[in-house]
Amino acid sequence: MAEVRLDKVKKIYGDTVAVDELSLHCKNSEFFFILGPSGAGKTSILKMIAGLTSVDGGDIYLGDRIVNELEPGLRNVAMAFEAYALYPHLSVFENIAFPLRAPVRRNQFTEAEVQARVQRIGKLLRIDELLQRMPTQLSGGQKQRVALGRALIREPEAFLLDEPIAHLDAKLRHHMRAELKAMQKEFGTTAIYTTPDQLEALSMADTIAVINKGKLHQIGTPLEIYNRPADEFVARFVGDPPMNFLTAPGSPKSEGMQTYLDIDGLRIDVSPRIQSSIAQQSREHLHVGIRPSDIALSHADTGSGWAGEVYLVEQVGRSHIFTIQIKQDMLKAKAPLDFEATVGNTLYLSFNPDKIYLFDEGTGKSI
Amino acid sequence: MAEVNMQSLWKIYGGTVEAVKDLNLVCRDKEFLCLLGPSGCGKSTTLRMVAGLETVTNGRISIGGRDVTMAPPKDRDIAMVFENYALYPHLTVYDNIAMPLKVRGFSKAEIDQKVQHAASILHMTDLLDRRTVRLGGGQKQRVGIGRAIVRNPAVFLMDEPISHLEAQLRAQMRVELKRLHIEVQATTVYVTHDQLEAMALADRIAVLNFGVLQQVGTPTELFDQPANQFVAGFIGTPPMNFVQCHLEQEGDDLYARGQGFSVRLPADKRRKLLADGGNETLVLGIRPMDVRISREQRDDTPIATETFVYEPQGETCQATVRLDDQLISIETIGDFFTQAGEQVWIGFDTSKLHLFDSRTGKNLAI
Repeated sequence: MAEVRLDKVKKIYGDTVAVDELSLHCKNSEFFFILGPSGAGKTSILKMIAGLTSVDGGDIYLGDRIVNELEPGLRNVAMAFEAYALYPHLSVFENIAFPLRAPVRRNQFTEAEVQARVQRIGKLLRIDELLQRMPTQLSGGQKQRVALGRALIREPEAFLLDEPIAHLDAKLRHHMRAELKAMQKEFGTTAIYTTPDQLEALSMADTIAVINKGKLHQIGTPLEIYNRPADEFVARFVGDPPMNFLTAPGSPKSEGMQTYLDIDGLRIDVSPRIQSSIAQQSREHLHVGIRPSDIALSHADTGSGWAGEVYLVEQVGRSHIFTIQIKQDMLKAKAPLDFEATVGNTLYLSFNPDKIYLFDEGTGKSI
Repeated sequence: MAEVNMQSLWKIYGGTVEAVKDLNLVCRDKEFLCLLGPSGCGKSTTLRMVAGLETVTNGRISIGGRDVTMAPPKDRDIAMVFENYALYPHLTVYDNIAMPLKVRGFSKAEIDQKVQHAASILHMTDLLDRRTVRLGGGQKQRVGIGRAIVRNPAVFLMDEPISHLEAQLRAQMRVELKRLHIEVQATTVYVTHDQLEAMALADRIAVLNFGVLQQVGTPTELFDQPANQFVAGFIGTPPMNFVQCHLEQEGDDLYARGQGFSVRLPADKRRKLLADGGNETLVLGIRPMDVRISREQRDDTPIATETFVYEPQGETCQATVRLDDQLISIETIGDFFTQAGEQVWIGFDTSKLHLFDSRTGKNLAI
């Protein structure tokens, strides 16, 4: 077991900088997530840690050692890919046992030890009744678990999991999420997991690193990432349906004690805390972010001035998602299923000043 | 008037593989009907039979009251939109959309009027001169839809048109597709494996499995009154919990009991179950949002369990608990917290629970 540290790590493919001076610190026993859209550099990072591709700048540490030049076989990390690549001619048992029987570990394990380890892993992954089957007799989810078992059996210092459940159907993904999280805690092995799925990261991670285009945007716990996004990219990427954005003038107005932003004659009150942050720097514009679940809807005029026409209604589980057109902007608002409205209806919106996010238009940084 | 009527429709491949079995289904005039099911359920085969791209083994298809079972695709007054958009990469957006009209010999003025109209519906007016190789996935799919719109067909047939797009773009396209349907008001049959997409888009959903129609209904009907365990498990995310149970009568009360729990059933469910008679073992189904959880024992959380996993999800969170050797997922508000190994208490909202026949899967409580 070990911590994994990246210090200003770079990966360059031709003219493209895939990973740009990225520094991360994954602590011992931590379930660490790398979250980002496709092309963010997630897989490149894992491959560099595993030693499957060269490091073009900076250092990678496993524990106290710099491993930049170390052969993959000597790093004692185990990587599981989305594509499970089982040996089709070997049983589930032999697939899982395979790493223990590899030439580099010859005579390291007795047959009894191999048996015991495979049984233990099989139980944990709930495939202990399938050990004698051949891979062709397994479902996609079962194959995935066998592949994980093959990675786990080595008891490595760190697991590297590259979108391991991305291709499973929604229902199985739901179950695997819980299983993998419980398993990681039980093993206590450091694990680094990449995914483009924000829900997966929020659900499973101890710590999330959000990256885009090879650059780090934020590191934090799931709740920090969700509740205090460091910049507009993180705010847009995390949360479903995604956060709404409006453009407001950079300097607020005030009326009595209350400070507000004037968006084309519509008023958004801001909390005193934000108000002092805005005042520190003058800007032409601000971006205002509001989560769909933080918008309150009403059929009656609330006097806020925020009236809009329902553009679309969608049902998601026991919620309605309303797309509402206000002047040139489309906002999404989430309401319980018993709040009803149809296309063309006028709805009135109100916002809680404590649930408003502001971002610098130029840098995208949270204010 | 363009109702699509499928009567006793069968598709059998190679004399033995029954892909679609005795399907009776109507897509009403102007309706948005989703065919939903897992891969291999027969939904695409059904759509392709309606389009005339697959022969019908047995049964009858009519569109707008006209029997088209044997008619070639071009005589069915339909337009199809596929997952892969098959655009002409060297042509502009304009020429791609105009293609079906040129083929049919429309005048330049007519073509221009129709293309401009379709482009304005799809918010693509600015892109008309662009070559399609330079478009993103969502834009390409809009060109594909534009090509269908200009033909002004009686029926749109769409086969997973947005399932390959990434999540945020898919959500955006979902909104546009539904808006399009509101504006164009054309009868639409739409195939998808994604229950969220079907729930958000459809007026009604037809759920298929192994070639057999399981249920047809509005999104709310399927969500709250699933006809059987398959529909109950397929619709809704996180998926419904299922646990084994049996019924026991005590005086006037009827209880559903299983490993580690006992639930008194409300009067309406009790009547239905007693009328149905003598089912020994049942499957109790309850959605994660209909299970209450608490860190202390309360009247509405009487069942003692242990937390297996806790998953924060921002606005909400999910806890998975162990009820004997079964796992139960619970969805609750974001500031509830528990951790693995902790004792917690749960309770079922009995007005929302379902009881399924463990052999046939039939929902006995609706």
